[in-house]
Amino acid sequence: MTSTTLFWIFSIISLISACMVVSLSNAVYSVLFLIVVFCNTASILLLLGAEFLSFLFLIVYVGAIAVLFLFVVMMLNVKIDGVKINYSTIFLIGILISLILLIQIWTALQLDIEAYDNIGVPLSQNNFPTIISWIQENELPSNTESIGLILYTSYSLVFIMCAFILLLAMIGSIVLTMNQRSGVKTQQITLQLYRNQNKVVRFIDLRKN
Amino acid sequence: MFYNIAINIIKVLTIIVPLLIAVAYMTLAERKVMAAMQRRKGPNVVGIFGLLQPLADGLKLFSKETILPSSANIFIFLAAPVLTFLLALLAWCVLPLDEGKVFSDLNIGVLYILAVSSLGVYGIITAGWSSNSKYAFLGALRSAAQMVSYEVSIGLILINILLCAGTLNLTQIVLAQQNMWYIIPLFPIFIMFYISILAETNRAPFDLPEAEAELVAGYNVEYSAMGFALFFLGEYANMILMCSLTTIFFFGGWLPLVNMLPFYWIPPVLWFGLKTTLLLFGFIWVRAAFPRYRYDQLMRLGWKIFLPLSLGWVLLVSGILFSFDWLP
Repeated sequence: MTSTTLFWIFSIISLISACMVVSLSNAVYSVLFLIVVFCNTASILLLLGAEFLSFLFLIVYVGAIAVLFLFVVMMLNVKIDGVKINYSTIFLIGILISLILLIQIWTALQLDIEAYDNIGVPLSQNNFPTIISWIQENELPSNTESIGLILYTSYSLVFIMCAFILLLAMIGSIVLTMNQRSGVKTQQITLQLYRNQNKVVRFIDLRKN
Repeated sequence: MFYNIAINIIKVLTIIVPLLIAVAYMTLAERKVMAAMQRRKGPNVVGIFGLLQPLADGLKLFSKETILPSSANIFIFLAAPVLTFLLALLAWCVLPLDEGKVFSDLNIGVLYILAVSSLGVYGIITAGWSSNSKYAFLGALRSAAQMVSYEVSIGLILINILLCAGTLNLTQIVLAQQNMWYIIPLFPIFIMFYISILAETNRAPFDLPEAEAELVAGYNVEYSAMGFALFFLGEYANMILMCSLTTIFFFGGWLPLVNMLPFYWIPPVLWFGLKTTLLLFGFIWVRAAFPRYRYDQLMRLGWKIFLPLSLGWVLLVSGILFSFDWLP
C-alpha cells in the first residue's frame, strides 16, 4: 500500500517538474527542476528494489552531470525574454520524438522483463513483491553483487566498449580545449618549486644604480 | 504506528542533539587550540575556560536580524542554507557508532554517504547564485569545483577499502578490521584520504572559497543571522562526519586499540569518539600550521596527482588481493 502511494507521489512530482523544465524561461530554474526529476526517479528505482542503481543515479547524474549543467548555465547568463518562439512546429516535433521514445521504451520493456528476473532484482508480476520468502531472499545475491556478476561476465565486451566511447569523448574534449596558442604565460609548477633562497634573494648596491 | 513514529523521532533526536552540541564545542575547541598554537588565550570570559562561549555565539546569531538582499532570488536564497544543513544531518543516519548503534544499517551505506555528500554541492552553488553578488558567486564556483574534483579521488580511495572489506556496509567494514586496522596496510591511502577530506570540507589549507583576502567570505557573504548559522553548522557537521568516516574506514571504528584487558574496559563508543576527536584535532592543527594553497595548485593536486595516484592504488591493491587470493 505505502509503496504504491509513494510511487504515485514520486512519479507525479517528477512529471510535473519535468514539465517545468521545458516550460520555464529561466534556465537556472530549469536545471534545478531537472535535479528534482533526477532525485524522484532515483527514489522510484529505490522503490523497485534497485538500490544500487538508484544511488549510482544520484551520484553520477545529480552529483556530477547536473552540477556541470548548473555551472554552465549560471556562467552563460542567457536571457531569452524578447525572443519569440514558434510553438506549433516545436509541439509537432516534440510529439513525434516522444512517440518514438514511447515505442522504444515499450518494446524494450517487452523484451527485458524476463532478463530482470534473472539478475535478481525483485520484480514480481505486480512489480511489488507481496510475499517475501526469506529463504529465497537470502539465496539471491544482493543488488550490487548481481549487477557485478552480470556486468563483468556476459556483458563485459559491451562494458569495455562503453568505456572506450567515454574515453574517446574525453580525449576529444581535451584536444578541443588544448591551449595551442604560443606565447601564453602559464604557471610552471616545476620552475616555481625549483626556486630557492640562494638564487632569488640577493643584495644590490642602491647607490651605484 | 504512532509508537513507531515516536520511537523513530527519539532516535533521530539522539543523533542530532549530540551532533549539534559537538559542533558547538568543536568551534570552541578550534578557537582554544589555535589560540594555544599562536600563544594567545582564546575565549576565556564567558563561563569557566570560556565553556559557555558557543552558547553565547549561538544566541547572538539567533537574535540578529535576517537580511534579505533586494536583488537576491528570495526563494532559493532561503532554501540554500536549509538544504546544506539538511544534507549535513542526513548522512549521519547510516553512521554506526557501535555494533548495532546505527539509525539504519544500509547494505550500501558507502554509496549512500557518497550520494549525500555529492548533493552537498547544491546548497553552496545555489547560495552563491541566488545572492546575486560577485563575491558570493565566485566563492560558490570555486567551492563547487573543488568539492566535485576531490570527490573523484575520495571515491577511488573508497574503492580500495571496499576491495579489502568486500562489502558496502559500514558496520561490516569495521568488523572486517578486527585483526588489523586498515591504516597499517593502507597508510599512503589514509594520508591521501585525509588531505582529500580537508579539501572536500573546504578547510584550510584548501579554504579557497572563503579566502578572506580575495573573496571576503565566499558563498555566504550575503547571509546573516540564522542563514549563516545554518551554513556554519552544516560545514562543521560535515567535518565531524568526514572524520568519523575516516575512523570507520581506517581506524577500525569502535574497535579498541589492542584486544586486551585494559583497553577492552573502555566502552566502544568512547573509542569511536576518541579517534574522531584526534582526527578533528588534526584538522585544527593543519589550519593553524599551513598557508593557503593557490587555486591552480589546488586543482593540480586534485586532478594531476591524487587522481592518478589513487587509480594506481586501486590497481595495486586489487592486484595484490587477486594474486594472493585474499579477496573476501
